[in-house]
Amino acid sequence: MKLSLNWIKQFVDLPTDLTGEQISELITLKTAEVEGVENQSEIFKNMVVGKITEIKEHPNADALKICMTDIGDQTVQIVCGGSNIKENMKVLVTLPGSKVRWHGEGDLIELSEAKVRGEKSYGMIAAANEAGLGESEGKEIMDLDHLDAEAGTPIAEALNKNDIIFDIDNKSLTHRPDLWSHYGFAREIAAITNSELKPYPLKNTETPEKGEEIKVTVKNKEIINRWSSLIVEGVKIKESPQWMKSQLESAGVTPVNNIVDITNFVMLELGQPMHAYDNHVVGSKDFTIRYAENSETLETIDHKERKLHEEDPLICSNKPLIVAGVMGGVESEINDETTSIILEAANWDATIIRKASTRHALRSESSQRFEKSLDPEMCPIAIQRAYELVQELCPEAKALGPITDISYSTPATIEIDFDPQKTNKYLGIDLEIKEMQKILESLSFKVKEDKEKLKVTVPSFRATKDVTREVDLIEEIGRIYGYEQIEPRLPNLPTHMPMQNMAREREHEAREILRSFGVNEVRNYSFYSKKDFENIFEKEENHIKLANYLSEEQTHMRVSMLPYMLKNIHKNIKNFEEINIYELGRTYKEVGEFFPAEETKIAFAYKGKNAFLKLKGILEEFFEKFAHQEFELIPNEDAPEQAHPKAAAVIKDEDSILAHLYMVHPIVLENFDLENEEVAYAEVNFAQLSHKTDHVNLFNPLPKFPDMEFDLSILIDKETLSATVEEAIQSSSELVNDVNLFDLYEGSNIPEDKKSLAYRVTLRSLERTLTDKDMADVQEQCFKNLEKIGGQVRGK
Amino acid sequence: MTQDLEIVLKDGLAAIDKAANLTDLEETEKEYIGRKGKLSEFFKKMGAATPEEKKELGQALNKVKTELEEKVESKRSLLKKAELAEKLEKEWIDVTLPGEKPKYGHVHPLTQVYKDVEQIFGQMGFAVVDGPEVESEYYNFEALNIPETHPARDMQDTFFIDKAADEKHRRLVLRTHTSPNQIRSMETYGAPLRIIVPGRVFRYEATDATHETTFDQVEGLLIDKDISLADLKGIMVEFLSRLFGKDMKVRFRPGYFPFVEPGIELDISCPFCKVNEPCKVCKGQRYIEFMGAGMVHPKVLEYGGIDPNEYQGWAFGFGLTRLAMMKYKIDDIRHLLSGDLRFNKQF
Repeated sequence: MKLSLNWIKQFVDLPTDLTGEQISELITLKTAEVEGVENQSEIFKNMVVGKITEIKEHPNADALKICMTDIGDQTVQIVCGGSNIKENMKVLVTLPGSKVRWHGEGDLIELSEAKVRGEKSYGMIAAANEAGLGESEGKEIMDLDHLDAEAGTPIAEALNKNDIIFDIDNKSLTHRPDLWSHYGFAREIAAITNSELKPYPLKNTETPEKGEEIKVTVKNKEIINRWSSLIVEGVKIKESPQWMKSQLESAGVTPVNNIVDITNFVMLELGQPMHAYDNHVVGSKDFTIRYAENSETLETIDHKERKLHEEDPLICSNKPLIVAGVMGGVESEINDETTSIILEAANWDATIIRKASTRHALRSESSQRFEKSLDPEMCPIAIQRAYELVQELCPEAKALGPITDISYSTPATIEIDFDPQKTNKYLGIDLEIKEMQKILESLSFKVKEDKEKLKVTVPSFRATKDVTREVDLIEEIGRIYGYEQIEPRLPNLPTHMPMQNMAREREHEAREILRSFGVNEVRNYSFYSKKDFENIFEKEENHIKLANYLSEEQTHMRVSMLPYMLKNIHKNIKNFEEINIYELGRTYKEVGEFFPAEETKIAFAYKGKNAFLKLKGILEEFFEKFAHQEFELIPNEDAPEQAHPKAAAVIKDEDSILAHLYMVHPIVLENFDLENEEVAYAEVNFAQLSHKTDHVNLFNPLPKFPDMEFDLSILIDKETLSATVEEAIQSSSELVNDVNLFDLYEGSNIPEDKKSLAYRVTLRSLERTLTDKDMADVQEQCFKNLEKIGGQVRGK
Repeated sequence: MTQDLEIVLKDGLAAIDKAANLTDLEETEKEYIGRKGKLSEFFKKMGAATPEEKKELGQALNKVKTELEEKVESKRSLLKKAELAEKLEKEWIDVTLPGEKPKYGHVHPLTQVYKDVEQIFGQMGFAVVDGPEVESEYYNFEALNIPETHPARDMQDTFFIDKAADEKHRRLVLRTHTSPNQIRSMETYGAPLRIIVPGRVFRYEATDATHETTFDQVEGLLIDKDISLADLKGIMVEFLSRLFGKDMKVRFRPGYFPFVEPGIELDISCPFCKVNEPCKVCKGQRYIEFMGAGMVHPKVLEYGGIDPNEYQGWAFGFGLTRLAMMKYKIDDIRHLLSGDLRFNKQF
């Protein structure tokens, strides 16, 4: 919301030494966030009214002229290409040092003395849009002949642009219906600067005691709290005078015509939204306030035909006129021929207005205010003020009857018991009760002392929603006393050990281990697209879907981390030969209950040579270091659909699946533009794995006797699992301490259905020195075992 | 004979001098003072000498032998030095060649900020708590004093889940803040309560350099019998000073959040300002907006089953994503979830 300081100053005498910046800082620290301060005298610095005394041809350019221009204290030479310049014309001169926008576009540029095509130019004669003073046509410069101002008058003064505009963050006014106007803010600023607030400026404008009135029938009582209206005749629709237009513009509202401008002016000044109807078009003086019927439609002033909803609040004559509090209808709006008007100021139910404006996606100045719960007391005041302005702008205008003013529900007076001791305890300060009383009174609260406590009555403009209980008053004390005066201190609490969040600590631990393994963490979105999960053969029924989404890419909550991991690989493939990544995150699965099942998982993806074994090695080492446990790997069982059916395994902990490890199915790879790549993937149930924390590495005595080693090489069927061979070796003797595969060969020189495996076997005894006989015995048993599983020991 | 000895000594010394390397020297040593060397000839001849001659010759021989031995030793030491020098010369390494790097992975910058925050608050006795990311309207809004028609709902553009509403929970949403865990924790643990809730949150908001649909926040909650805004200032000053490794200041401004009263906006002294240098981060304001906070609204305590007449406390919430961007000077929020390893590997 934009606030004009000049407007505010009409209602409060501010200390003269207070600058705009200081006021802005005070508002920010005590009331609401100021997002920007626009100082017009800064914007129009070095811009003056000039008078062209002589126009000469430019020696080097046909399209340019040399204008000798009177700028008050001297006459200067300015080069100008304006199409409408003539001698003795008053123009806008932007002198060196001023900031302009070339042709009204781009960034602000500071002017300096320059030569234009070889001729000196002291600043420029500007178009309106170059100085931010409105629209400009073609090459026309701004014509200021209509001004009385002498040459040399600063433009800010000549055009009355000497205001300071504050831009207040609307969100920080969500709870303050009283601050949505200049008078409201004047009241607030008076309190925070300790200045005197003037009463709202109402003249004693008389209306007839009897005469024409609007008769209101309320069908649905909950819609309305108060109705005020007045019928005025003899109105002439025209442009508003300059002072009113400037004031509206400074608050960011575009002038329309005198009557519409008056309703907007009162809203900006007092905070009460108003509506003006063409009295001859409404057709009847019997108004009805009711909900719309489902089939009804209304064309609103933005020229949209709106289908009404059965909870839309309407004001109707013999037909729907406007959506109450939200937007007017086009038929009954003020037009150039209007001569008789109905002024209306009502107070609508905040929730009903908010729902209607949300439903129609219509956030008007009016609905924005009503949804905050306005003070109903403002309705008749708004009518009086508007009538007064109508008379000022159209002196022939006359009210046809008295002001109609009906209350449908009167808000109860709010009285709060206020405990100063509690306030000090809440804020962490030590303020005297008298000081608190003073603060509350400066904000128009009525305060009575009651033993050690205060009885506080809330003024009507704060009583609609904002201030209802003691903590609300504590806030008033805190902000006006000044939050900056609160001294930091540490809470006086007993030392205690916080509850441990094992899962969270384990996540950090896992990441440290993976960091040391050279694996890189990525983070991905929680939602993906239908295409994404179809690409990995997942079904829609396992998903929960967003009802509203911003992009077709992000419509379903992920049940698998695979799609994003494959996208990550795709993204990095041109920059990295080896891609080794993991993500620790959640999946969200529909399980037939209200809440989905959120599971924490670690997904790994590896792209590079020997991908499966690389990733298997990472997993094994990770399980060992992180969970201190070896887990059972079962080949080609329960392979998910996105896995290569012949290159998949599950890792089990007793009966439950801890992880799937597999090469990604070639079709899935193709779906992510990764054909011809080898990608290994694993998804680990992290929650389950991270529970394994109770392990401590116990000391093993160091061997006292030297180990013995022998190598062996066998030829065996390709399909025989390496695990089977190792088991055969391992089981040959208790002395076998370690079995290590060091060579695997398939190819020429050996039969096509065979492979050659070479192992180094280490023997160890903790009790005695091993002998050659021990070695021979183990070898013999070992060879036997291997032959039993079809192995042929080479070089035996 | 003494003359012959003189000649052997002279020749011997010259030969030792001439030895070009340790092998040469050993040969020469053998030739003169070895068991079959030239000096041994003289020792043999001594057998035929008179006792007097023997004594004289013996002394002379010993003197020559010692002289030759000393000469050999000193030459040996010289040659060893020379050989070592040559060896060292040959073993020259171009130390500017690139080192062989160990493989080391990278932890996402956001995760590192999570860890810092959890650690510091953990040391101050705050427990770390988790909650669901797919949350109910009840926890995300209603129980936080934001009824459906409240204008404050506009402050948080919400993703809704396409699912029938539940009577108590209303609709499912993606949580717009970590605040629902205020209520969940009050229900689970009751008062007193000292927790932080770091986690992922979502907003229905178009993405650009500073806005994302998905970002991370941390919620803090301290409830006890005598907790005030002064304590909030104190805790935040401690936290920030530890986090940024320098003395930090905080500034309170009024702010509006329906679940706190009074509501506070907390600014922090700009940690990047240097003396006499214009600061790009705070643009000369010396303070940066940091978080929303306030005293927990009595209605929220009631929703959480805590008696507001007995307990009071404060809550705060700030952006971990924003903190990570601030700390690492990341200029575009979209990098964080891009999966581009050229980004991730920088941290």
